[in-house]
Formats: sequence, structure tokens, C-alpha cells
Amino acid sequence: MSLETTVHEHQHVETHVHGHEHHDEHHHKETFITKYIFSQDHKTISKQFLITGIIWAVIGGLLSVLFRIQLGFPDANIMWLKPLLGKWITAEGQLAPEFYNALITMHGTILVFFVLTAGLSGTFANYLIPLMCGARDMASGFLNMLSYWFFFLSSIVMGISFFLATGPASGGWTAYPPLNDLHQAATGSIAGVDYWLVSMALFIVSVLLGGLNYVTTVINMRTKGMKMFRLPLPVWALLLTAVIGILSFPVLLSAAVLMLFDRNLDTSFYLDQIYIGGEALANSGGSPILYQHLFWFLGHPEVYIIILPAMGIVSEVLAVHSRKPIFGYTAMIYSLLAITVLSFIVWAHHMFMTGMNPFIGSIFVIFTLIIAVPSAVKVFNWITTLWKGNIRLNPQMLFAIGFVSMFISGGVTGIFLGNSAIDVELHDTYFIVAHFHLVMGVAAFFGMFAGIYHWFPKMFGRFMNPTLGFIHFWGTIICAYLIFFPMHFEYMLPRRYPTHAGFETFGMFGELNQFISVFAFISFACQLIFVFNFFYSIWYGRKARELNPWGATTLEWTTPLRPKHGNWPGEIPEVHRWAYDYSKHGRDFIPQTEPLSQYEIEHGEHGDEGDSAIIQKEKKDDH
Amino acid sequence: MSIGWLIFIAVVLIIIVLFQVTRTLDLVSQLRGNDDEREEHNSKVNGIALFIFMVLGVYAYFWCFGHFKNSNLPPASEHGYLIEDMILWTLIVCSIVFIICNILLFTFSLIYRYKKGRETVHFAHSNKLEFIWTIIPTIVLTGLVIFGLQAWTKIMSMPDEDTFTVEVTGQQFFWTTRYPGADGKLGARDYNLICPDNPLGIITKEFVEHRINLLQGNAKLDVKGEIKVLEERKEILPGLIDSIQQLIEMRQNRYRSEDLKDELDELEDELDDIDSHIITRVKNLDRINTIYTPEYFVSHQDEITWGYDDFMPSEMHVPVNEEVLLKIQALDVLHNFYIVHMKVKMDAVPGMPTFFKFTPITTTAEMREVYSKNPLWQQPKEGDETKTPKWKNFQYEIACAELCGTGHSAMKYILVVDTEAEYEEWVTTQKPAWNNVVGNLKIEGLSELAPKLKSVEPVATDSINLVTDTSTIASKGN
Repeated sequence: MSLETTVHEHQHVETHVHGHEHHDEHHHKETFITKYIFSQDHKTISKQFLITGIIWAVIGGLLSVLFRIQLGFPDANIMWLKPLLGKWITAEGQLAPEFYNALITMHGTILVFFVLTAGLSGTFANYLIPLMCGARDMASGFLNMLSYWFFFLSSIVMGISFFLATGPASGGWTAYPPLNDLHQAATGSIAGVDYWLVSMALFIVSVLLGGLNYVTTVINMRTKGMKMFRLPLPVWALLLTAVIGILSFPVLLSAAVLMLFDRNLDTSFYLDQIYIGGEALANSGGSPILYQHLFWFLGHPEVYIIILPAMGIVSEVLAVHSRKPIFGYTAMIYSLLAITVLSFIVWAHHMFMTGMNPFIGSIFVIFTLIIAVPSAVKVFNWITTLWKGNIRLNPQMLFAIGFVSMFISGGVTGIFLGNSAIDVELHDTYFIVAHFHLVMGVAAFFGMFAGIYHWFPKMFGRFMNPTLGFIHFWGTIICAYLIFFPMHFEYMLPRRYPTHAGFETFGMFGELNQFISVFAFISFACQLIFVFNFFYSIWYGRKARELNPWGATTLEWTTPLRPKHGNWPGEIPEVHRWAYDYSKHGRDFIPQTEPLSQYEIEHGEHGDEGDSAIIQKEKKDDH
Repeated sequence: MSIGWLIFIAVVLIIIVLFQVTRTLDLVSQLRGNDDEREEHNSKVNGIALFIFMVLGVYAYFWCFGHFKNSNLPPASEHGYLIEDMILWTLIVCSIVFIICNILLFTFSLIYRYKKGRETVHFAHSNKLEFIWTIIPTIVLTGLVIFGLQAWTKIMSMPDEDTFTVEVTGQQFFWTTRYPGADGKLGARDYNLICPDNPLGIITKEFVEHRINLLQGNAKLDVKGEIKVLEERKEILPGLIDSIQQLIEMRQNRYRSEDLKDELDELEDELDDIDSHIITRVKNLDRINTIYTPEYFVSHQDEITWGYDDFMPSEMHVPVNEEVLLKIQALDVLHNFYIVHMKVKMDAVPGMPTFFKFTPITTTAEMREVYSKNPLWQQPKEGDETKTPKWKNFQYEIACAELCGTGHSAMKYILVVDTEAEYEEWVTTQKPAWNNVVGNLKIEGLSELAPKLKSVEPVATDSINLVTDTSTIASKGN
């Protein structure tokens, strides 16, 4: 009780300092419901996002296992899945083709939106922004809570669509019209797409509520001394992620609403001169390409919404565990900014083959390849961060290193795809499947794992089992490469085919597909190890006894072992330096809260002198 | 209990065993050494493992190129070589980056792994280094952009107006091609006129009349008309539904009546939808009546005449070394016309024609020769009794590369690249599409309306029965 009163008192101090109004929530005794369910504590909301994300990841992964059975073992009898899937298994024990399409659609939707957007940036933005900025909570705890519950509602709607008699949406995660626009075009388009669209609309509300909160918190609620250029990189990455989300998700909302109109109110936004099911429809004047522009105006920034938080997390983990400052902190921030800006003007590289004016295509080629420059800078900076470090190869560090490797391997193939001439050959084939799974699927997961292993002791006051962590890492990275690297050689195979058996040209990949499927199953099993480790460690993991087990400089490690709502029992600490003073002045690390010493020059304030000069000066001073 | 569940249980057991073992290991190591020793040990093991992983990975990288070389596609079109060159250059650049970066990443992880007391450097930035590795990628990427855009402009440039044009139409789930015939011009088309006899909706006065007859009914043709059929169906549906409901009630205590219930659901759905089907057809009729006034046929005489000799073959044929312009269209949803070996790929968009031009340089026969040396094409096809090696039956295959529904993977179509002489011969065997359906139209004065067709005798075919066709549309519902 005494602790809570102090928290409360300090909130009043804070109110005074920041002119920020706090509610008197701590007068009320917390019940189970207010503490764990309708909680307004950013830490609890973050865990809610994380656990919901993990559940969806398991479901999404399971869907991929199902369609990998079909792709690797097309002749296998899967009658044993009949109790689970019912009529989606045909009488011959095969997967129904329309269900295959539903599987890939749902796999994409769930992983992209529910896991890698809500589960990744929802979790870490909520957890890290207030703790790393030095704030008691988000700007609005209530909106933050709503953000989670809109996500929850959206995932319920999507979940319900699995149980429709006509099945969930089956027109691809991009939901292109007219396939998704016309009820008669596919079974999933009869009702499933309506659920998909409503679910997306709710999800967008969630992203916007969350995003506005994150931006407001970072801009307004940093603790004393926490200048923008002293912020740890995850906060920068999460801030820019939120900005991208706020600017691009509303466009998807408009795309979804227009499609709902087309489907239910007989409008023709995306329809023109359609002859289907023996009828010439009355719709005219719309354009299916309009939808693609609207969709990809979100869809491309979306991949950066997924990868930026992972980049931020990895930057932090690499610095902490190699005991070195992140190399080129300012360059890292500017490259994040460059990626943010450029991410809005590259969307049409998804549409080179739509019959779009080739000249417009050329412009998008230029911007797309420019965006490779800041990405390359980031990679080189990460590698240099490792150079001459003292690298602790624990699970989070392994995942961070794995992230960099995946990002390189998946990134370079983007240079093929961004060049429209090459895209003629590679568009909509397994080459692009391999590309985006490496660069935004596996890489983003690696970032997420690095973050979870790293901040787990802060989140739950216990450690995850490192040996299981090692098995998880090695299983995942080996499988990921064995699945997605050889997949590039299927560069002529069109994607979204339940079987390529009808084509002689595509007939030579039977063995490879089997190989890929087997490793996909093993990879899924490895993720179950993680899920087990995660939940087991919440209750039975080794207890954290030190406040700062990794020796990190940032503010979240100055909170108590199990911080209450309000984060710091006393005053919020003041910040005196940037977040990456590792191995400086012969010291392992200097926390952000420690004032500069007499001779010390803060990072970034030595003009063009360069670091080597500083190092020499420091050495001189030492003697 | 099936094999699937056994595997599942095995996996769960393995996970439990693994967990118990690792937990014990962790406990032992915590009891035994201090944190530093444990950290050093873990870093050493994982550092070495990372390095080995990298070495094996780089080896596997090169091994793959050898292993998969037989599945590569030999390009068969002129612009295919442009794309191959671009891919080769990009591959070289990217391989260098990929290998160097991964080697550095994993080697640093090994060399600088945790050791108690290892000296580290506070090396936070270096303008020189960062400048270098901003500028080098910029220069390299600029090069790739320039070469890429040159190739792109070449591939996408519009050809001359008189280029040989083939029209491609995608619909669920097949492709149709239309050739211009002797006059070298494709006739106009309209989706409002599409019917079983006129699958692409070619505009001629007869087809307009025919479509009106099919919708409205006409004594001369012995058809009731789709609208009439639907209206009658609408009248009998409630009665049908009632009687099935009664049946279900009667059977309630004796049998399970699942099938009947399904049928009832279907009929109820049909009743719900039937009004919209009727309205769709009435609107279709209205549009036809508005567009096709007598003046229309006067002012659009040329485009209409061009349509009479268009032909729609079951396989696509093109002559070698001649530029072909594809005019690509779709009737229902998005498709993508993908000629695999030709590196031709372009979306088919309803309501918006798209274009792609290519020059085939290898005939089908020559490509069979190429594949006769490929070990992957030596085996006979599965289930082939004659044991012919696959390459002997090689065909250029066309696929759909844009998800279009349940039958997406079944949209196969064949391209045959002929020599000039073979192509000329093939063309003479093609009959105008008009020729196949003209017998069904039963319209008087045909020869006056179609002056171009004097040489072509109307052939009476019994392949299409109009009456059954219209009634199936009605009963099809969705």
C-alpha cells in the first residue's frame, strides 16, 4: 500500500512538472478485471498484445503446415484431418482447392496484420515507449486499452469467418477485386470477404488509436533531459512505425469501405464490364486497379511497419550484448527517417505487371532501388557494431545476428524485384514468396524473438530457459534457410497454386517441394518449443534477482523488478546522456541517468572531430 | 488412430524430453560455474556453430546453382535475353554483397565472442566509413537502375500500328485467343453480347439480334428467353419450397432429412436471388437496346465487318521471329497471361485492355531439341504407356499468374511457335468463329448482312441447344 501511495504522490509531482493530468486510478483497489483484462497499464496491454499475437502466430503457422502438406505431398491421404476440417477435405482425402486458397489468404492476413503488426509493434511500442522515454504510462491509458480491445474484436471477427459454411475469404491476403468483390467469383467471396473487411476496419481503428498514443507519448512525455537524439533506437523505430501507420492505414480503410459498398450496395468502384456466371453485370466505370493503388499505398508501408520495430529492437540488443555503442547512431536515425519517407512512394512496384503506364513504373523503380541505400547503411552499421565487441552469444543476441543475416539475404533479392524489367519474369512466382518471407517474415520474427528473450526478465521478472532458446534459434535459422533459400530456384513457378501437376514445365520441383515442406513442419515444431518456454517461464522460469541483468544503459532497467502501474516508485529518473555509452572511459557501461563527468564530451557534440580523436583525447586524459 | 496423430504425440513427447534435459543442464551449469564461465562457454559454442553454419551456407549457396541448373528456363523470346542479362548482373552484384556481409557478420560473432576482460572499443561512428558505404551502394544501384530502365523501356515500348496482333481473353478458368483473319483487323466486341454462341461478344447485327432473342424470347427461334424463364421459375419456386417443407415435416420422426434440408436451403437462396438475376438481364437488354440503334450499325460499319472472319483457335500459334502484340483482356476477375518460356507476363483486367509484345525466336521443335539434352526431360510422363521421353512432347505452356479463384492452377493453354511456312499452313485450316455458330442463329438474309462471308458456307451444327442452354442459366442460380 505504501508503495502505491508514493506512486500516486509522484504522479502529482509529475503533473506539476509536465502539466499533464493524471487520473486518480490508484485510489481504487485493483480487481482481477481492472488489473489483467481491462487494464490501462501499458505493460499489461503490451502483454495482452504479445499473448494474443502468439496465439494467432500458432494458428497462422498451423495453416501453413496444412498447405505445405498439400504442396509437398499432394498425393497424401489426409482423411485424418476430416474431424477438424470437415467438408474442406474431399471424399478422396485431398484438400479442397477453394480451401487451399482460404488457407493461404488467412495465413497471410493473420501473420501480416495480427502477428507482425499487432503482435510485434503493439507489444513493443506499448512496453518500451513509456519505459524507455521515462513516462509513467501512455498519453492516454484509456485509448491504449481501447486499441487492444479493438484488435481483439477484429481478431474475433476474423476467427468467426473460419466457421462460415462458405468458408473464410479466399482471394489472397491482398483481397483484390473483382475476385473478392463479386459474390459469384469464389466461395470465400460469398460471405467470408465481408468478415475480412469488417475485421480489417476494426483492426485499423486499433492501429490508429495505438499509433496516435505512441506518437503523443514520445513527443510530449519524455522525462527531463531525454532529448530526441538521446532516445534509444527502439523508441525511434517505434515512433516512425506509428507515424507510417497513422498515415497509411486510413487509406486501407477507405479501400475496404469502398469494397463493402461494392459488395453490399451495388456500387461500382472497382467494377467495370464484368461477365460472370452467365450474366453481363450492370456495373460500369470502376477500376480494379484503383483498389490496388489504395491497397498498396498501405500495403507497402505496411512491410516497413513490420520491419522497423524489429530493426529498432535489434539495434538495441546488438549494442547491449556486444558491449559497444551502436555504430552510427545518427546515421541509424536518418536511415530510419529516409525509409519512412521513401516507403510512401514505392507502392506501385507491386503493380508493374498490371498494365500500369510503363513510365510511371520507371519512377517507382528509381524510388524502390533508392530505398535499398538506407537499408544497406543499416546493415553495415550493425556489422560494424559487432567489430571489436565482447559479444555475449545468448538467445537474444543470436536472434539479433540472425535478423541481420536474414535481412541481408532477403534484402538483396529485393534488388531483383524492384527492377521492373526483372519483375516481368519474377512477378507472382515463388521467388517473391521466398523474398518477402525472408526479409519481412522470418527477419521480423527474429527481431521479435530477440526482443522477447531480451526484455522477458523485465516483463515477467523471470528468465526464459536459455538452452531451449538455443535449440529454438538453431532450429529456426536452419529451417528458415533450408525452406526459403532453395525456393528462389522455383523462380518460374506461379504462386497460389494448390498443385502444379497440370504443367510439364513446372514438373521438376516435386522433390524440392517435399524437402521444403518437411523443414516447414520441423520449423513449426521449433516454434512450439518457444511457446512452451515462454509460458513455462512466466510462472516457473529462473527468477531475476538483479535490476539490470544485461548491464544496459536504458531507463527501463532502473525500474523495480516487478514495476507497478506508474513504473517508478519514486521520481522519474533524469537523463544526462545518450543510450549507448558502452565501453567508455574504461567502464563497461554508463547508465543514461548518470551525469557527464568533468572531461566527458557527450556523443554527437564533438563536431567533425570524429571518434578516433576523442578516443585519443580520452587516452591522454587517462594517463 | 492414424499416422498423423502418432506424429503429433511423438513431437509432444520429444518436446517434453528436450525440456527436461535442458532444464537439468541449466540447473547443473548454474550450480557448477559462475555467470562469466557460463557466458564464455555459451558464446564459444554458439560462436563456433555460427561460423560453421556460415561456411556450410556459403558452400550450399554455390552448390544450389549447380544442382538446379537443369530446371532453369532457356529463354525463347528476344526480350528474354535482356531480362536474363539483367538478372545475371544483379545476381553478381547481390552475391558479392550477400556473401561478404554474411561472412563478416558470422566471423565477427566468432572472433569477438564473450571473454571475461576482453578489451572493447568505444567506436561510435566514423563519417568516413559511413560516407563510403552510403556512396558505394548508391553508385551500384544507379547503374542497375539505368540498365534496368533501358531494358524496361525496350520491353514496354509500343510497337508499330500494323504489328501482328492476337487478342487474349481470360475468364474463370480458361484462356481464349482471337486472331484477326484475312483482313488483319479484329472486330469490335461488347461484353453485353456474350452468350454461348458468341463467347467473346463480337459485335455483328446478327449477334445483337441473337442476344436480344435469347434474353427476350422470339417465336422465330423457339426460345422462351432468359428473362421469361427466370420469371416462370420465380413463380414456381414458392410452391416447390412449400412442398419440400411439408416433406421434411412428414419425415421428421422417421428419417434424417439432411439432403432435403440442403435442397430447401438452395431453393430459398435461389428465391432470394432470382429478382436480382431478372433485373441483371433486363438491364442487359436495356443496354443493348440503347447502344445498338440503326445508326450505330452505319457509323461503326468497319469494326463490325472486321469481326466476321476472326477466328478463335484451341491452341495459340505464332510464327517464329515475328513480333506479336498481345491485347489482353478479362471477362470476370483479374488474370495474368503468363507464357513461361517467353518471359511474357501481363495482367488481364476486366474493363481495361493491357498489352505486351514479344518476338519468339525458338520454335517448339527447336525447343524440343534443346530439352532433349536436359536430364530432367528424359523420363516418360507418369502413366505414359508408350514410354516416350518428356521432351518429345514438349509444348510452350501458358499459365495464369494472378489468383483468380478455385481453378486458378488449371488455366493451362498451349502456345505453338511455328516456322513461317508451318504458320501459313495452320492459318488456312482455321475457320472463322462465325462459321461455327452461324447455323444456330436462324436469321434470314444472312448473306446480305455478311458480304465478306460469301466464300464460307453456313454449316448447320447441332452442338449447341439454345433451349437447354437458357434453362441451365436459370437453374444455375449463383
